Amino acid sequence: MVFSGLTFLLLFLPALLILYFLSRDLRWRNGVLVVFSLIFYAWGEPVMVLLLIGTTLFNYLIARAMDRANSAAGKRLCLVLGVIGSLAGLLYFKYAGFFLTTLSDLFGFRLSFNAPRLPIGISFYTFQILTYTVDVYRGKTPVQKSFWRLLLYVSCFPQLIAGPIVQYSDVAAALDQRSTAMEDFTDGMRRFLLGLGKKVILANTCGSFLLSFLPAGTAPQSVGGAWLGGFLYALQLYFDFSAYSDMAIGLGRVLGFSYKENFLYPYLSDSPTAFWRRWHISLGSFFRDYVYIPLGGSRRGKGRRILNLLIVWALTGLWHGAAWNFVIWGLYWFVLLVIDKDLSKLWEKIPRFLRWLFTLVAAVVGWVIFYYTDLAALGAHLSAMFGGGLPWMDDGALSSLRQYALFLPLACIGAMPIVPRLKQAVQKHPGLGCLGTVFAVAVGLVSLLFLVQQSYNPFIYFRF
Amino acid sequence: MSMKRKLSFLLLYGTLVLFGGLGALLLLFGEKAPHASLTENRMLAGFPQLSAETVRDGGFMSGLESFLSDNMLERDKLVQAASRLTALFSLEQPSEAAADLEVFEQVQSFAQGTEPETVPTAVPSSPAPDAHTPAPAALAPADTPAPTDAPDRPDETAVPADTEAPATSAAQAPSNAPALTEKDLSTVSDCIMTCTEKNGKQRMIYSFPKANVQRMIRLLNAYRAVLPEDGHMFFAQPPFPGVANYIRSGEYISWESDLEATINAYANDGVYMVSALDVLLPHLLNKEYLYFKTDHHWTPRAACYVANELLRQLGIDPKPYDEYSFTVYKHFWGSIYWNQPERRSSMMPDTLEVLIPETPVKGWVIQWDRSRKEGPFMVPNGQSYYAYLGGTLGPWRRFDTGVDCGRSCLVIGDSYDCCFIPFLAPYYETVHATDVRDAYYDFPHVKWSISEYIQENQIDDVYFVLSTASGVNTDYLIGYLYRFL
Repeated sequence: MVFSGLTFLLLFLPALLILYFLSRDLRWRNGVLVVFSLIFYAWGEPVMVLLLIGTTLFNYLIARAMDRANSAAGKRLCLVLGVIGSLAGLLYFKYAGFFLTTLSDLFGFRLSFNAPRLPIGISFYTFQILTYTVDVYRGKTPVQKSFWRLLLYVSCFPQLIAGPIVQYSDVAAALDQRSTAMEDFTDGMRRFLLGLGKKVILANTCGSFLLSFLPAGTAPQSVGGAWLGGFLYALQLYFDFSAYSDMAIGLGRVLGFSYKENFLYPYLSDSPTAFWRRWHISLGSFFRDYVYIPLGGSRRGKGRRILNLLIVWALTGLWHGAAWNFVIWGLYWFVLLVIDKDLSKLWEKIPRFLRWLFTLVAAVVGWVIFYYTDLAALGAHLSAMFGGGLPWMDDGALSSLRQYALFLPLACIGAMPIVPRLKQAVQKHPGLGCLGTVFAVAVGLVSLLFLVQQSYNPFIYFRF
Repeated sequence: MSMKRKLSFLLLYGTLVLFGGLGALLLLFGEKAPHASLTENRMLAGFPQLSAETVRDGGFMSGLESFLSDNMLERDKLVQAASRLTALFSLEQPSEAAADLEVFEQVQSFAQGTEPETVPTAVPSSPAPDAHTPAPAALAPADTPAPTDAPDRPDETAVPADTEAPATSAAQAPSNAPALTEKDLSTVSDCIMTCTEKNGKQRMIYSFPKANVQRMIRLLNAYRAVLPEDGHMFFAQPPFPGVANYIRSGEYISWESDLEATINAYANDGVYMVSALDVLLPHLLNKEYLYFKTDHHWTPRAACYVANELLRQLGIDPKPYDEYSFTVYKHFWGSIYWNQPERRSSMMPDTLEVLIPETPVKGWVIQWDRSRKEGPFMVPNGQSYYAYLGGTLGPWRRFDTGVDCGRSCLVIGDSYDCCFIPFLAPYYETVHATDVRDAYYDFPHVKWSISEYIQENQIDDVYFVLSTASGVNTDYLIGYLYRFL
């Protein structure tokens, strides 16, 4: 099920909230939430919901065993088992086909392996459950004695399918005790409706704009078309993913959970490092806390730091998809980040506008790499962006530009922190009352209008 | 707690209640059977089948999403509003408006170019048909056996057979309807239209409840009764393009309907319903261009095939489509293109063949006060379906065809008749037309019943040409046409 679907908006959400708030006792509320979360997941994955429950049960048992283990070796064994067991599903479903194909290409043997269909959200919930097992091992959090509460943590529908990746320690307390004040409800619903508008109005229109002159499988016909395509994909990806995070954070707040921010206007960043502090923050935090720092971080010298960064970015690339373009994309950012860190003093001497422009261009080039799993098509697009013997502009791109000319400025404004600033301005004028809420409701209703017209519109990050 | 916060809460709470209420309404009262949308040129989804298989393969979930979207209250208006909002992003609006404006201006120049004059209340006509109009051939024989059984229902259909009959408040018999002698209609059964998928599975497209079929027969009989003794009441219900395009694409290999046979068996002499399905099917299977891709209408070619089939019922040997002359426009973008910008990227322009009349046809738009202004027949413009007759103008249209045969006909239809009428023109001295869907048929304005119009203009034959979207199950046919008779 998707947040931006009529089934969710008209049936699932109202039914959930009625039952949830009718339940006074937290145990009942948790029960309602688990049942609805499993329905939410099963709606898209009626069979694979069993994998989700199985993975949770496995980690629950491992953590309980770890808790009972008397020796450090026993605890470590439980951890290793837990990590291997959790990653096994992810490796099989997401990477087995990729690795086997790569091996067969390398060594020239033929094998018949039908890669299984990737269960929705497996990358997200696998990482989430890992944070629990690792944190219990580290003693950072006590073991969860209730399987149902652990299942609620993993399956809680707002963040289940496309993040943000919520670390167990961030919500452990809320699983046992939480409440929803009227302020939580209003702020959460507002955030949700604005996120819905971001997805339905901005992200989907960016997608239509992009497809109108660069349908899947075609190469750009001009330099301008190539850059416009890259820029539009960058915007679409941002709106799509950050909209999902907005909706997740908003719904979490309505249900009494407090999720951390996942995006902070990344296209305003003035360096690659700053970009990754603002883009998919929860993924960056996961790799920092569970990979980079355990590997030694930057404490073991420059060479080791670069190696650790290389591992982290190769994994980050692979996490997004089992294809070589994602590996290249990860390495591309690794190079940029190493250069950024090593030349930071020199970098700061460049005017801020130029630093911002460079970062934006670097991000757009990065998203072009991200877009194409077909390396030949990727090469053609990159070549087109940097000349490639093509004209400056083609008729198709120009025609689409005319068709969406007035949308482009709106999209650019949407990628800037306009809403928070407007919110601050409104708060300074009490006379403006609940203008923000009226705006959010209007956005929600317009989104509904668009949804009646649009067919199924899944989020891009579902496939990761 | 501040008033602002309370108001915010109430607003958001109200929005949730609105969403939930809408969902409940759709589940309870949404149309459960698939049905056609004229605006979107496709079949709208019915309620999905719930079974272990459809849950496992996700068919139920995606079907429910489609059901909620397709059955949204006032869907057509919402879709158009969303399209207008999306169009705000575009700089292309002026050119679209210009295209339409250009056609409208041509229509207006036709309509305003002549001073009003009064239509003679009775146009004399030659009672004897001349060489151009041979004596009508026998219609469907009155002794055609009535179907004894409804056809077998498909084993597995996507549509429940119990499509509800539409509101019948408007379906009262007219006060001036002549007393009719009718066959016994009590044995009429429900009728269905089905398609056969390429895997052999039959899928119901429309169902026509018995009550609607009976009303339809009575309506046709009533119209037949106000015509002269040698007059004819013809009815064609062209299939909706969404279904036809499935056949053209090979998804469906056939379609069947028992409606026409039932109507022809039970209606009085002089009434004949052509099976547009049967007429068009071989041409669709032959991949002929019968429906536009970017517009929700049929092409002139399809209209000509159906018109010719009806003309054959009069004993006329009509001219084949390919023997007419046309001005061909290769870059026609139709209503779907303009109304659904998000689909534009996948569309290719249509070709519009605008008929070149063989005789100097003079068109008129006639008002309720019987004044008339000159109106268009063929508009030399390849940018709009308005090229045919300038679209729907009214309340009445009249075309003096320049053919001296002494016969007149009246075509009552929806916009599908615009393409159809030009192919009747070579065989009638005058062709009249009306479309009672439009606003000018608001009751306070109606000053002329259709039967009065038929008598004043000495109409010989009446044609109902309505797409399935305005056909047997709709108020248009079984309601308004009774009222206005």
